[in-house]
Amino acid sequence: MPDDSPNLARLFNTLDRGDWIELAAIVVAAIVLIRSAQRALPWIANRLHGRPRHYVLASVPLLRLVLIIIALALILPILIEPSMQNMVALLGAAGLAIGFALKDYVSSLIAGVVSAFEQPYRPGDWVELDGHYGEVVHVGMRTVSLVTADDDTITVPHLKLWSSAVRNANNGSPVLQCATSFLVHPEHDARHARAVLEDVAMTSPYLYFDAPVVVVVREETWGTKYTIRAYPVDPRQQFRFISDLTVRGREALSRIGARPLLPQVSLPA
Amino acid sequence: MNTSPTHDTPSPPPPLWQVVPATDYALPTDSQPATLQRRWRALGRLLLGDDKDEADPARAEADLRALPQLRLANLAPPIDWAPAARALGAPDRDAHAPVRLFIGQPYCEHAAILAHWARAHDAVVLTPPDSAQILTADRRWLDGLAPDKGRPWVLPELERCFLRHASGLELLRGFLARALSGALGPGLIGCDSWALAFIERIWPLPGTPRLTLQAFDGPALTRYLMQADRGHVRFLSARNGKPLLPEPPADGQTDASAAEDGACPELRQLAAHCRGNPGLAWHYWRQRLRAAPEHERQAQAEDAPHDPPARQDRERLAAADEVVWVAPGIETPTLPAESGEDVAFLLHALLLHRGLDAEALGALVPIPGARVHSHLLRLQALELLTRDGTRWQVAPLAYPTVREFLRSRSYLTDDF
Repeated sequence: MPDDSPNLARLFNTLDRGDWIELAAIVVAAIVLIRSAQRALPWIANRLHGRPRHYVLASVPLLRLVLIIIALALILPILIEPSMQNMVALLGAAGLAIGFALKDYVSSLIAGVVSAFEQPYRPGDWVELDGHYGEVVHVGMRTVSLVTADDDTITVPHLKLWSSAVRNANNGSPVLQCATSFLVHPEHDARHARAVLEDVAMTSPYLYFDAPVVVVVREETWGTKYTIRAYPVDPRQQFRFISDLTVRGREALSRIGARPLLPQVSLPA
Repeated sequence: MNTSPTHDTPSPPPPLWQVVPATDYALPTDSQPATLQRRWRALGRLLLGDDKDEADPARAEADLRALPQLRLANLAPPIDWAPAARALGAPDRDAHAPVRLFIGQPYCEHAAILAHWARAHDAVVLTPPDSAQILTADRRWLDGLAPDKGRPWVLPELERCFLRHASGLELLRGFLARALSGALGPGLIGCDSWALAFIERIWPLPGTPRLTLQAFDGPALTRYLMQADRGHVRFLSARNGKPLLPEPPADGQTDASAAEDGACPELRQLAAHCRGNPGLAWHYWRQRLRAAPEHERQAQAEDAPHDPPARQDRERLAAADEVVWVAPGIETPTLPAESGEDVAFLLHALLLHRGLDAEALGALVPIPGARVHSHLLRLQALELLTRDGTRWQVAPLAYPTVREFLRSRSYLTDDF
């Protein structure tokens, strides 16, 4: 078996004290910059509203990826001689290690890089991921964090991107559609009910006026289903907006004599 | 406004009060450094949550005294809106558009302008329904709007004909359907600019002529202040001691070209800050007037008795040339950095209806009544709201701040 030790020794440069200091400085600077960006940008974004808030939040993972690439581009030439032979040897060794020991971890890291480019979710988006619906508050290298309506923080590995559907309610936009449904007994004036529900939406203080308001009516076997589709001024208001529409919509339907549909209860004989 | 320098005789100045189509409204522009300075301060407030004034007041300003109300009323009398009503012209009997809309920005008193107009043209003034009639969709109000043959009609305040409530729009729709169809004959509808922005989403108004007062830019504001009867008073900037208004011509006539050339940066900035709204500019101007420092007046009084003839001269001179200082900068109340959704709802509802009482306000916002009162009192303490009887309104000096607050949060705003 041939002795490869001279070749492997040449893979890594001999590091002197100055190289170590340079490496440490690059790593520390990258960490400080990434941490600072991850704290400062959300802090600034939370003082903004609408579109500016959304764009500042979405820039966090992209900026971190750029900083990591710059740091790696500075570190690698210090550690190894950047020849084709050395790169192949390094990537081969890394591939073996990843393939056996760190498959899921690295898969999540790679999915994190993909997510930074494809942007199936960005900070500020409202997504349903792995059965959880909430606002994306952090897109890390390995995981994405959501805060749900119950104020729970859910951490999901990016790995889910490969196999699961991602439902993004606003997809990078600062507005998001809300659907509020009403189930009404079939004996009523549907034309009037539809107009009344449209007014309910148009008079909500939460309403974002630059997006359309639509009332969808569907006849079901058990009655009539009305759905108001409208947009609040801020996606974070979606649950309060739906509550407001529900409360006022019920009142309005009751005023015109449209009864809510009660569940069928079978009485004992 | 264009006057050609090549003509031997200058063209007559444009009238100060112009009524123009709303699409021709020309926002006055601010100078670039002033805009940057204002944005820089706004950024500081946004990021640091600093609600205090950024700079210490100048020494000269600290010495200046506020003027008594009576003196203020003499120096800055309320705007006479009669010339604006005259600028509206005669009733329009164009069969294709029997109704015209006159849009007024907040504090531009469109109701007062239309009241003047109605008197001048013997028009029937329609009174709006009360809140209970609006919420119960009382058709008797609509049925009472009978046309008067040969006389035009005026509805000065369309914003009083609706409430932003699911039951508060029917009378508005009924009225617009009748009026715009020509069933009531030729008429003029006055409407607040914020209310109109909302009404257009409820009832689009294509083809209805929309008129408004043209914006007051720096020269127009200068002309207005020169025209106002103020006796022999010189308004000096407390920042640099320079006069803010050019000297009127000796013949007593206001010279439009003097105003055009002599509009100082402070007045141009004020016009831009108020977005050309003369009513708002008047409130700012009035708020900035100050009396001379006390020690100067005392020194004059002490010097005077030693030399009676000189004293008489000085008194005559003082009477002929009283100095009123105009405080530098534009002081605006600021919203607390933590102002949230409740505050936005209240301010927005007040602007859309041009003021509301607390009870009506409680019916329009999803906030419990007790909290509505608490917020109103807090905003009043911050000088963001004023109360006229039972009606709450956004304070004039707070209006630009409130408008920007709502605009930045994507709430519906007016077109001005």
